[in-house]
Amino acid sequence: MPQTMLAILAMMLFSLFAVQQQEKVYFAQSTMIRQTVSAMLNGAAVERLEEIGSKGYDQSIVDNETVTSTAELASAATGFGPGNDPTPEDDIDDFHAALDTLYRAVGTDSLSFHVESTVQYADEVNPSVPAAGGIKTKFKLVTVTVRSIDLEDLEATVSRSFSCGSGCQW
Amino acid sequence: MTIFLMVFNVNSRNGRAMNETTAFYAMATQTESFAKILRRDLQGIQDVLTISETSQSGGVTVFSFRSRIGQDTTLRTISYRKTPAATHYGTLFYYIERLIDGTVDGESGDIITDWEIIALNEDAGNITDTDDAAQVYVRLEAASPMLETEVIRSIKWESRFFPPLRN
Repeated sequence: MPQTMLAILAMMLFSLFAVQQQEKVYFAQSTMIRQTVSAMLNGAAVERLEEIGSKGYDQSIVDNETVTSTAELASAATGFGPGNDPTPEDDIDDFHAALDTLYRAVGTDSLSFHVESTVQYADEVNPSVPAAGGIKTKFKLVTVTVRSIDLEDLEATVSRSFSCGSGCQW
Repeated sequence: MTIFLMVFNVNSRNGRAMNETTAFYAMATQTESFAKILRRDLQGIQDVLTISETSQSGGVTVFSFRSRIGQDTTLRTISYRKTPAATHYGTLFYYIERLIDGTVDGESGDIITDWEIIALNEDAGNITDTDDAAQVYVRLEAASPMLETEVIRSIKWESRFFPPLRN
């Protein structure tokens, strides 16, 4: 009888130990999966950011090539977005509050991501921060956030300021 | 005795998993650093000098473009040179060197298992002339040479960049 009890106790202790070890392995593997998906999210966010940055700075510059004062910039200091723009997605601020879905192949399967972008005028001295007081400037700060649909709490955010360059002559 | 063997087995499995995790983290960190440099180079890209990777002897391939790095206004010739390193567990690993104006200025380490960099036109289609380049697509896959055939062993990063001259 004592031997049986001892054997049962040993089995119980082993089971507990095995479960704990299995949990550790599971945690390690799920962390690796999350890191893999995070790298994909980052790549997708960078791609979207670069795509937006490749567009014209402002509708006026797309149409007229240059503007000589902030008043000539078609984009209001607030209320970015395609709005009633007859040519959406041809200038940076058309992508404000834009929502999209991207896919990345994983073997024979694919992962899907939600992509959201925001655009703001940026400070001319420090283009990495939004311009204060709702003024128009020579920089637009684009922020892209990509969220995994399959792993809901995973997201990547990248931002970059794009200059008006020679299009803004003031 | 049976219990002892089972404990030993579970314990060694756990130890292996921890080693794999450590190796994976090291590789992931290395990949992230490499991708950051690559991203910075491609964000300043002005034009491409090759449409895709050009082959050299010994399985070496090179992709070159001109770019402005950071705040520097000087246009530099940047090349990414892929060289086969070794085969581990049936997978060929490469290392990628970054060259600035022909001088090696860093490398990825022997962790690259897949690498593609190619210039494309505005519609992401293939081109035959470097002047038609409107996008550069890059994909890299890295793995730890220490990991055998586990489910998760590689990390993938891909993106597209848009040379400013073409827009």
